[in-house]
Amino acid sequence: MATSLSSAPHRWRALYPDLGTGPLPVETVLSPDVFEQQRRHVFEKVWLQVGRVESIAQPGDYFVAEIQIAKTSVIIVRQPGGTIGAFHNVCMHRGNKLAWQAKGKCGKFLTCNFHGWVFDTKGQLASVPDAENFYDLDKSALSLRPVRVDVWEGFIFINLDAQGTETLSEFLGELGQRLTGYPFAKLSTRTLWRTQVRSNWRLIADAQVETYHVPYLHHNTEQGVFSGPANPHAHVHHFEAFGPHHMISIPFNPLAVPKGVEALAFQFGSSLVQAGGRGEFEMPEGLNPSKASNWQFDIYHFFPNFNILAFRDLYATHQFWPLSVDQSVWEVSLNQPVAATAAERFAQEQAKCLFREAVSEDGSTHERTQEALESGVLKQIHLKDEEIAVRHGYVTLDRMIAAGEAAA
Amino acid sequence: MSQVLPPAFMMLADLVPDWAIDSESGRMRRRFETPFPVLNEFYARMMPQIEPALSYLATKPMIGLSDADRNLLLLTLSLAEVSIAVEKVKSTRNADTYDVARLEFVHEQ
Repeated sequence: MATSLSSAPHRWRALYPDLGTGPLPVETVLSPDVFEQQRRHVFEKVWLQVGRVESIAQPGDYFVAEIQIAKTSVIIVRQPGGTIGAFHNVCMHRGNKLAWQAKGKCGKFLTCNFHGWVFDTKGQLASVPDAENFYDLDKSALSLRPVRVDVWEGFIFINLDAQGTETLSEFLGELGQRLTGYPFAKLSTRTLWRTQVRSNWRLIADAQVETYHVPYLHHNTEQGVFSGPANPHAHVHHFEAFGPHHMISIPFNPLAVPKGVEALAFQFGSSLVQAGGRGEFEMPEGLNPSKASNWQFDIYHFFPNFNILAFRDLYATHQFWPLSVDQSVWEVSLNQPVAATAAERFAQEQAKCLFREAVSEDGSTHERTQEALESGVLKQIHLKDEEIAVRHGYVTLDRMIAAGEAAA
Repeated sequence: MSQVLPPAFMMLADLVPDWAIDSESGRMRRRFETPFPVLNEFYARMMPQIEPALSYLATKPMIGLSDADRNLLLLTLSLAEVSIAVEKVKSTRNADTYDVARLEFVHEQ
């Protein structure tokens, strides 16, 4: 049985010897050339999570995903009959951006603001003002350029590789199966924060897949919550790689006792830092894979830039969007049940405020680390065995880039 | 005219103008613009009433809240925000953390 709190100092190396143990080069974070390779061989090739189905519930509802690393903008639209379409946000006339707002309702048609070209939600060119004045205009050849799109558990993924053949289901593999059945749709009270950070996207992502930092960086908000006498360094219950993806399972200090307002939150609803919440919802069997009694939540990393933190009655997400080698957009969501009573609403707010505070602690390092690495002092970074998920992320990027370069 | 707060909690009525704020971003901004001693005063005023307030609010469905009940709820939501500063950070803000003024609230409750 894979279990909790092994005292073996190198337990993950024993299970994943191919990931290596050596230091990692800082070029992954700093090099414009590597960033360009990440664009070409990763972000323009793999499935990327862009939003939830609930945000486009009705036909004609749409949102726009700006994928800046790929220099593209994608319209995701609910079509008649309930299917979801994705199209490059480019008018087929002279290339104007078709949708200018981040989200909206277009009814049956998207109309270009520039010259009034009209496209239906299947992407077909429906109408062109003064069409007879064009020369041999073949409307059937001027449909919006489609982007591959698919849905997993209500999360919409797109794939910018028009020639790609890997399905979303194949890409997610066993990771997707582990969370199948999680009550994402029921946890519909959504908070979403977004911010632009002057750091490489990896620096934001790396801090979200290890618990080493928790007793230090989060000493105000999570003091003694992850770590305790039995597990002083907050070693995870479980790590597992699924192809490019991975998960870690987060421990709870059984001696931790909520105090003050946090204790009230737990009494009247559920607090973030209680062991897994109150268990109101059916959970998939794959959650808490080591079946640890002092389990807090699992983190599922969907390569390359999306994480789900699955608690027992709420989930959070992190997404890391590269803008350039040293600029990123960081999006964080917290998703809670619909509060039945006003007291439960209070409990949710306490969890949200605490989570936001912890996230702002996480955010304290990214720009400082970027600045320090740019000094050129460090050529490599060193990872311990328990930081294996960080290592797995770097190794996966390297392998995908190497395979892409070899195929080019 | 409807009451500002439910009768049993009218002793908190003077807090309503400053602290019954109907968005997370608004409550957060209020916390970060308020000197720590004032946060402590708000916390000290709220804490003796919070258990009865939550017991009362536990009987109130979110759908169809009266204005008075809603104001009481909003005071408790501000307490949730302020308690992080008072109980955990022990100051209005930890100057080392990410500047939350840089957060865009894309969806909020």
